[in-house]
Amino acid sequence: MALTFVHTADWQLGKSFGFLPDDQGVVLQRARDEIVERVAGIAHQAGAPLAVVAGDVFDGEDPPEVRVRQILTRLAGAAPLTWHLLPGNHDPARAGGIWDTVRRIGVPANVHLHLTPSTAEIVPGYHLLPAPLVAKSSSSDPTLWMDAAATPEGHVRVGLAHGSIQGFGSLGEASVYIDPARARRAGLAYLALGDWHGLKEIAPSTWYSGTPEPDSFADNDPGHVLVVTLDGGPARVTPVASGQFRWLSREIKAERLTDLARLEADIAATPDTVRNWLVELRLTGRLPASALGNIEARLQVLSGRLFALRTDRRGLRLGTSQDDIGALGSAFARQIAERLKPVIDGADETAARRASRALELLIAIDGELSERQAT
Amino acid sequence: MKLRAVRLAECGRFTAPVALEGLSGRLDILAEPNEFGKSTLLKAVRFALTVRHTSTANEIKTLVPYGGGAPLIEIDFDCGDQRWRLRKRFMAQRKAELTALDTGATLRGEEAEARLAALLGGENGKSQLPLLWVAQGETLKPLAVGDDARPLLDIAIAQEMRAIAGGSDTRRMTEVVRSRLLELETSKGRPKKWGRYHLALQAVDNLTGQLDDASRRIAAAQKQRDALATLREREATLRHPEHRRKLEVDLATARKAIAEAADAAARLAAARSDRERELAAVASARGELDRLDRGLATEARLQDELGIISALHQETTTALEALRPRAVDAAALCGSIRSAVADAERDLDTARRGHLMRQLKEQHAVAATRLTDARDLDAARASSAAEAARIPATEALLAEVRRDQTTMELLSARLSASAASLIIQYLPGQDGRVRIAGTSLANDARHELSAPTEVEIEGIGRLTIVPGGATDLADVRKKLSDLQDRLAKTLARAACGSFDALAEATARRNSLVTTARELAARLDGLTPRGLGALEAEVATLAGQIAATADGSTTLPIGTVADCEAALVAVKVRLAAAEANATALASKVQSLERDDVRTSAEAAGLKRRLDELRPELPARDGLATHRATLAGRFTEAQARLDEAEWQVAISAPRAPDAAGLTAMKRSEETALSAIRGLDLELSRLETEAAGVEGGLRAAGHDDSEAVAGALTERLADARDELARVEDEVAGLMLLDQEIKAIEADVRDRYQAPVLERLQPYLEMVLPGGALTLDGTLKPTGLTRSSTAEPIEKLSDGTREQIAVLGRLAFARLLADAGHDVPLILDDALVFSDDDRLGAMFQALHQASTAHQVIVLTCRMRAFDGLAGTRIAMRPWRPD
Repeated sequence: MALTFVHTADWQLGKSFGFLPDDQGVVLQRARDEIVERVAGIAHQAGAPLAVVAGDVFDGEDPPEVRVRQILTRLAGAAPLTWHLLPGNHDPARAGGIWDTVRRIGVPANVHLHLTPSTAEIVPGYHLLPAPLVAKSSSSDPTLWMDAAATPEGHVRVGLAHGSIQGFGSLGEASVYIDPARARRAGLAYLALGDWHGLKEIAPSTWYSGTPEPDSFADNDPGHVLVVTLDGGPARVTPVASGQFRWLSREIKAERLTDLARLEADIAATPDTVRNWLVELRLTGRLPASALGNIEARLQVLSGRLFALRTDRRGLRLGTSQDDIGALGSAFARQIAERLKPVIDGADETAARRASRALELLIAIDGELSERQAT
Repeated sequence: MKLRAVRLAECGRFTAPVALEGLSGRLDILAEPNEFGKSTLLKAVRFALTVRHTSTANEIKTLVPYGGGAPLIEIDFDCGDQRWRLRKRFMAQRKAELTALDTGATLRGEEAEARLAALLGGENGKSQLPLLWVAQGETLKPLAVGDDARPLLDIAIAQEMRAIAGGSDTRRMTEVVRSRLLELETSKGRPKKWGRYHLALQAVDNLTGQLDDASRRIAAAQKQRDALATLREREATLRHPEHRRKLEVDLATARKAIAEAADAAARLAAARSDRERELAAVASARGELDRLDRGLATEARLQDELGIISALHQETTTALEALRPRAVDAAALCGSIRSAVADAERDLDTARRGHLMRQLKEQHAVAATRLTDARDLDAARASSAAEAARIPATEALLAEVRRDQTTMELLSARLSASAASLIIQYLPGQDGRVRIAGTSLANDARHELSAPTEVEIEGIGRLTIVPGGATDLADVRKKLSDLQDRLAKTLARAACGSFDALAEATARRNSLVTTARELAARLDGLTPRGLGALEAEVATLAGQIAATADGSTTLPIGTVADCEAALVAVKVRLAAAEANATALASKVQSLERDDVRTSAEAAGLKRRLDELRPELPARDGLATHRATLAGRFTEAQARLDEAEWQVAISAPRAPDAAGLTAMKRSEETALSAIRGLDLELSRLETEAAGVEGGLRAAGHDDSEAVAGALTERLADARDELARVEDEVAGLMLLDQEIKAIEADVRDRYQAPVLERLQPYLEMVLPGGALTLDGTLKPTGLTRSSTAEPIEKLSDGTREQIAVLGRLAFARLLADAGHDVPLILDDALVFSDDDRLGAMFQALHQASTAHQVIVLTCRMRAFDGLAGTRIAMRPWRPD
């Protein structure tokens, strides 16, 4: 009998976003909380009776109890969908941890906690082999036991684990390494992985679903859940977008401001959508002094259109061409700029940055003084 | 600009109109005494050129004479190519007229003021004029170019420079940069409190603190969870059924071992009891056998001993009988030798006494002879002393007489010297007619007259002859007379008639005294301890002789040495005899003791034999009796071996007390382990509940999420801090660049001034170099590589520098085509003659480029200043 289920992971419910103002952070947190309903919706649409969450359901081990109750209530509300939750490195299954709190509060009937490495028949003919984490890091492969785990003959084995695939060079958070060949070794029809927040196929039957709601500027294709169908053949895996917010990181070179223009155009074209965009721009290169004001203004406009805009201008230097210097209003400012030029153009990066900043200030002050004189 | 004439009316002390005419436009000198009005003159010129005629400022009123009036000032000056006449009246009937003397064109009022300002270089030009006009007493004031004077100097200097930096732009930029910097940092480089920098630092610190707190809470919770996990693991291990089963098995094993040990112990006890019994039986049999053997052995031994003792006793008796007579003979011999020793001792004593007697007699004879001699000497001494005592003439008397005689001779001599000599030579038939005190003087006789003497001349009269120096002759005579009396008395005391007799008697007395002393010395040599001691010695010796003789008249036969030798020989014999006798006596005693002992021992042995014999069996049944006893022993021994065997095999099975104790302990240990397991489980449950409770009590404060958020916020705060620090660094860099530019400009700006100043400085302060600040004010003088601040220089040097500075400014302006007269009103009052001369040289040099007007009250000192002397003359304003 075929089985369709949803594979998701790394919800990290309760995660904070300190780089944003509190009100914006709350919005993102709420979006994460709503993962439950969105995943339930996707499961319902796909006809999946169950969903497996491959670790890091919670962001920490000690969220306020009221929040845990809220989450459990939401999970319960998704019934008849059955949830199979696996502890990850953020929420390991250890004494006094989050799962003790969950059990103490009361596990909803449609929620199954897989806190020990033991097989569990999730639906008739299908056994789940979970590899829960009991600590934030481990030197041993938690899926090792799957190889020798006994299941009834003919039953389909589905693995559920959280960690980094060896040799993948993954940027997962967990210091836990998993053999990429585990699915084959353990006779798994599918190995559902968590920890890597991006969508990633390791092997035809080994996938990272990624986090359903992006939570960083890492360009690794987050914001999905996987609809997995097992019907005796190779697993059929269908990514489904589930994210509410989009996180973008771009480098804008001063020599190619067209990139900024393109981004602005994209943003301008989808004003409603981009309200849920968080954009990180790294400005690098040499910018003519005269263009600095323009760039600032454009970034201001962008900031107003997006959910959040972060700019990193540490790699930006002001230009020191004759035109750049000649654009300064007073002779004295030009004289100072001439003295700063060789330092900005020099090899000493620290001194160049400092001199560039000095030039920026000089331009600003010169502009102010010119305005005052004009008025 | 050059002033050519100044005319005043109703100005200060110049109530009547006066004029200074004929200024050369080069070096013009007005030398007038104090209170001439030189300062009024300078003030009037300044007001006329720089103050509007309509001004009512208080300073204008200082020009009004005491009795009132409206100051009128007229100045002829050259400016450009024209000569102008400026006439201004202040206060009442104010007016201003400016006339071009070449054309006669006159401007009045505001037009005149405007034109005048234009001629002087505008308002700025007017205001900078006072820079070069030094009023009295103002030389030592700091020379600084103020902002109002700067522009003209700037223009002048600008002609020397290709470009000028800044000006107002510079100042504004500098102000903004520095004020922005001060908003962020204090002047000491610390973040300004509550400024952005400070706040950024605070934010980082606060967030770091919060993150540390969150991390600590996380770590604490982590620690508690780890502890809880450990407790749970331990509990799971202990709750495992296998764990308890093992403990129960241990307990059963311990109990079984105890039971088995008890059985073995009982068997061992029985075997030991048997062994003890058989041991006793063996000991008894052995004892009987041993007793029989011992008895027989004892009998034999006693018999042997008795034989030996008896033989010994016999030997002792025999030896004793042989030795006793010899001992008696030896004792007798000792007695006879002792008698011989006594005789020899008596002979020796007698010989010694005789020797002593001879010695005493010899000593007595010597002492007696000495005594006789001593007595003779003593008698002779006494005789001499007595004879000397009878002679009254002493050395003292002799000396006294000698002194008196000497004095008398001196006095007589003096009298003689003072005496006059009278010698009469009678004429024939006149002898005897001259008399002194009735005594006729003989013919040709010499008469010494030491006192006034009356000489009677018969038939003629009397002459009184008074010798010379007779004033004290009476005293001399008195003294001489006294001395003569005393001399007589002294001789009488000495019983001598004359000095010679006294001398002789004294000599004789001295001789007797000397003789007595010599005898006394000889007596002392003979009797060092005195005559009495010698007499005592003689008496003592006599007594010893008597005592030694002791009535004995027998003389010894031999000498002392012979007697001593004889005594020694007999003593040696005695010693040998006594030794022999002693040895024999000792041997006899020893033999007697042995005899007694052996006799007693033999008796004892017999007695013991008699006591032993009844205990022993008869000789004919002895072997049978012994065999019986041996058999009993053997049987008992066999039974004992069996009992030992039983003990040996039972002992290992029965633990000793320590082993039993150990078994009991094992049982206790097993019981404790089971009890401990329950307790431990209970404890673990309690502790785990406590930790869980603690975790719950600590609250689910979402520390990890908070820490995550804080980490991001801290990163942002650090970025912001970095931006602020970049801004600070940028502003500091700008400030640094501004300062560098200012320094560069200053250096270039000062150059023209210093260039003009240096030649003048070289005249007055050779080798000196002046430093200026940004306002061109002198700040220091360097001479011989030593830099001195201006304020530390003497008043004279400072006034010279002040004047030279003005010369430099005037020269700079003149070179730029903006020459202005330099006016000095009593500006060199502290300078010495040499420096004054050097300053004259400088003034003269300066006057080749621009007008220098010197007003001075030091008329003689300034005689050396070459220039045009100007003087006040009356003036008719109309």
